Amino acid sequence: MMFWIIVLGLTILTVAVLMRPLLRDQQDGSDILAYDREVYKDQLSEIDRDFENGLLTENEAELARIEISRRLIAADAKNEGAAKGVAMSYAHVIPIALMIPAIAIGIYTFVGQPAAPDMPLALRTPPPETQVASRAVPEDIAQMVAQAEAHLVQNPNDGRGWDVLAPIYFRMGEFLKAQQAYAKAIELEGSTALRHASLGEAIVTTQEGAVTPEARSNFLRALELDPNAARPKFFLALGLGQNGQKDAAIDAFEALARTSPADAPWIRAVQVQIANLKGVEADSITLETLPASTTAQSESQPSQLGNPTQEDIAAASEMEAGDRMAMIKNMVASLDEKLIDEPDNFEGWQRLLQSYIVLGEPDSAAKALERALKAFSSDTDQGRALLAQAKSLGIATPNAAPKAETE
Amino acid sequence: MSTELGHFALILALATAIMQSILPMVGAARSDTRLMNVAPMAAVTCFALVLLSFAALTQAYLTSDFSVLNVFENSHSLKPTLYKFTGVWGNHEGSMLLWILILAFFGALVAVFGNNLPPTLKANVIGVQGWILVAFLLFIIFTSNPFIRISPPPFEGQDLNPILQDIGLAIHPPLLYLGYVGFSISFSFAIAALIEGKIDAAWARWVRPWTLTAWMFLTAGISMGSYWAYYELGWGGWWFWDPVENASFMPWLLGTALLHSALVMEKREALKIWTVLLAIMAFSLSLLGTFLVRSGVLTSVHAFATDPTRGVFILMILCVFIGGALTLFAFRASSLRAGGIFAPISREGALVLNNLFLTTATMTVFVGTLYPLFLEVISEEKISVGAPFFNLTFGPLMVPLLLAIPIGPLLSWKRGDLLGAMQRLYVAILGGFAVALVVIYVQTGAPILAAVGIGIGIYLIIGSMAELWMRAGLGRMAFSKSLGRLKGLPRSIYGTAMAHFGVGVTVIGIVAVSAFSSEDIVAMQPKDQIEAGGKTIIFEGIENAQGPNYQVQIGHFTIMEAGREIGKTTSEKRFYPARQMPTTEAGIVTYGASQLYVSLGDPQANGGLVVRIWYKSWVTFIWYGTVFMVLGAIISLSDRRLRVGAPAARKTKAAAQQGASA
Repeated sequence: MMFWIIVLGLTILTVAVLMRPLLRDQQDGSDILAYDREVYKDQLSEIDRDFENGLLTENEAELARIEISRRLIAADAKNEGAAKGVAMSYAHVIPIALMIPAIAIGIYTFVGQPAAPDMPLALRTPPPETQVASRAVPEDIAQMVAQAEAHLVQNPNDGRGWDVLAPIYFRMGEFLKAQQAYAKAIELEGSTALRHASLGEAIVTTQEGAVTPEARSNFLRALELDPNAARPKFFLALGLGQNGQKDAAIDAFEALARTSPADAPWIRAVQVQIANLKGVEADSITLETLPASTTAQSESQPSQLGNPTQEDIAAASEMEAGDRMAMIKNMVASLDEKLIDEPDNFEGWQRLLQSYIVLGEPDSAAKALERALKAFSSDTDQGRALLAQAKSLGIATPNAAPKAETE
Repeated sequence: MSTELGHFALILALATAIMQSILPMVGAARSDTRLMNVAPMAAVTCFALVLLSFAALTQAYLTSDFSVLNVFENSHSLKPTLYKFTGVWGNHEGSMLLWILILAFFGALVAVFGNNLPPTLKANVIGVQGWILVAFLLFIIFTSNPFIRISPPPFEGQDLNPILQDIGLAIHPPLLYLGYVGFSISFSFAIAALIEGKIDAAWARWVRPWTLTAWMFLTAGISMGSYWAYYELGWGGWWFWDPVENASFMPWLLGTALLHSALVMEKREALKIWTVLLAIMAFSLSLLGTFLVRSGVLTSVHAFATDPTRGVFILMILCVFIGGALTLFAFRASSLRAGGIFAPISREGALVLNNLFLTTATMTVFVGTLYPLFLEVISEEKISVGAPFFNLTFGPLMVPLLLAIPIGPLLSWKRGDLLGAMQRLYVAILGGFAVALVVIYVQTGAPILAAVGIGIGIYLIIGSMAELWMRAGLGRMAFSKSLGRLKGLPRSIYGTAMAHFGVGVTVIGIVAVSAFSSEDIVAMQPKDQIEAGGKTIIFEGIENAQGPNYQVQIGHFTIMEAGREIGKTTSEKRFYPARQMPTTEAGIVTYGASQLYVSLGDPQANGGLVVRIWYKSWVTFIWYGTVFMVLGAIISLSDRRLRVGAPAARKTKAAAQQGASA
């Protein structure tokens, strides 16, 4: 509002200054030739001075005087009519005056961004990335981790150490380190359903919610080792949904529910996912499940040192299902932010599109697609790949003149 | 909000410029004082609005507001404040805004100081200036808008081209633009005169101070740019015949010709058509320079951004203004009556000779600059026209011109006495010969041309004083009387002498630096030493350090003479990570008029370092000479003749205004 007041003030001032001469009687201007005479008179006096100083001979001075006098006479001969100078009426001035705001405000609304505030760097908060990166970690845990890390630098082949550290890294939000630790543990201590499932989850989290092929193979391996494990099933179903296989994903989630007890902690997460896929409220979904707490023993795992029990895992994954949503949202936002600075990160865009669909925000996905197509025009290979992906995910694609998108 | 206000002010300036370009000219055509009086108001308002806009952009730079695309692309929060400020015009959009600011500034100057101009001429001049403003405002708003916003804004900018992160950027472009754009006023005067059909001696007098002002700034700007290239690019050269340099040099040559032909027109009403044509062409070449630099046709440090739409837009502006002006010229030229007649050997004749050589020299530079581009378009063949071409063509053209400089002012108007003038110059001629002989004697084996060149320089320096000497009658009458006459001389004569003196100084600098300099390129280990210009330079070693936004290797050198330490210098190689670009900072030490120039090359595998060491004899004379030229212009501008001319009725008012603005 303040902006428009100043704009208006500036415009009125300009109009007033420019139109003022039109609205006043003008006295002088009657003798335009006086200016010429002034110059020639000065030239004459200059010749007199030069003559006095002995710079010109009498003959030279005389000839020069004659020449200038001739110009003086010629100037007087061009008798132009006296200039008009009576004030104009408002009826004449107003149409001229109105053109100024019409041009200025007309063009400004076309090219300007009146709502965009100044954003001096000093007044802005630092980027959210740095806030996400350093999650608060209790000091004693940090100390413990540091000790474990020091130990593992000395004994990198202590598989158990990695096994212990991996879930802690995960809890601290150090997903990349968690990923490496799980991989190390698998390498040294052997494959278990739990380790592969956890590694898969760590990968998914690092990839900001996307079930990548690498994560998928880990979940499949976990399922091979324990066909009843719920977590790999959950993520595989999620992956199906991300690939655009909606019906297959819904079937997979429903199958997971059917083999789960009614009070299993992940039931609520499954409900949310199915609701997202169907585009309805989560509460409207009724799931076919086993009776409460009958098959809890089916997911038998050899108990390992320092590892959570089956119940703990179940509880944790339930707790994380809600947390995970918030976390994923956070990470998607930061990915979005990052892509403004590095628009040519092709995989980043792929992930962002997928993530928005996972989050159930097709509008944001469509916007992201539009921006992605600015970096990768739709007539490039990457552009086509993005469009194909968008189509399979059901994102609205900008059909009209794709070239226009590329500035 | 200030950024958007700046954006709006720029657009409001366009609306004002449209008024400025129409109302006063309609008024002049209809002898309507009311409409004509809009001109000064519009010119001043337009300048104020563009200034507001420029201030808003500057504010965005100083506060690192990366929501402005232009700031994001060309600034960095860690950049020193001075370079944040100069970075405003260190890029395409910002430099165009500066261009427009100066264009509006000259319009406002005519509005404020043009009280001695007849109202119709003043209205038309400001009107034509308005057309140029409209064209460039449209250009900036629609193709090069510096106020485009990005949302959400990034947190760091992409930094300014490191070569431009130098104090030179603070001075060189504004001065150069003041010169370049200053010729727009001469152009506007020419067009206004053609429209009115009134081209006479009085017109020549009115246009002269404006031409002189533009010429003065252009001289300073080119000189500054040359010195900047000399110390920043690390090659030790002071002029490269680079197309962009040529683009600024061509308007200078024609501007110089214009200054001299306007003199003839003022005194004798001769050369009218020619002078008007020169006024048009000088600014046309400025526009051409802008086109070459901005369209991306040329790639150089000046080509900030290449964008075909911009090139096409400027080409359109170019065609409309140059084509329109020449068409108008063609219609009107035939109706102009020839002015005073003169003998071939006369002051007029000498000035015609000056014009002839200057325009031929301009053509030479023009061909050398544009022919390679033309050839590339026609045949896709790339040729490079470099210093050898210009040395062979431009150089010989300059020699007769330089020889004629001291003679011209000594010839009288209408018909002169060449022998008499030569006789009066005997001291200068003898002085030149004597010094030339001494130079040959001292520098045995030195190129004979160098000796002749220095001789010409000395002849110019002494000859420039000859007019003063003669006019004062020194030696012909009592000394006190001579002194009195010397005081009574018009200042423009002192200005002429000073400027011609400066040409002599520059010539000596150019000849000396090309003939007597030494160049060494050696790989040096720490504690190695090398001789240059009678001095011993010891390489002390290299130090790595960190600047505000760059990493730097600093080479330390000690300079010894006759076994005694006489100074130290450092030479730097910087690396700017934001742009992944290296720059060099040469170590330059001045001894008298000569300079020792140390520049670092690449490190060797064995731990040594390639070092280029030049001893540049009398190199500073090149730039000192231009200082004298600029001083000459300032002295000429202060001449009382350039201020009179307002009719008596207005004189008091004009004087009061000048007093207030002084």
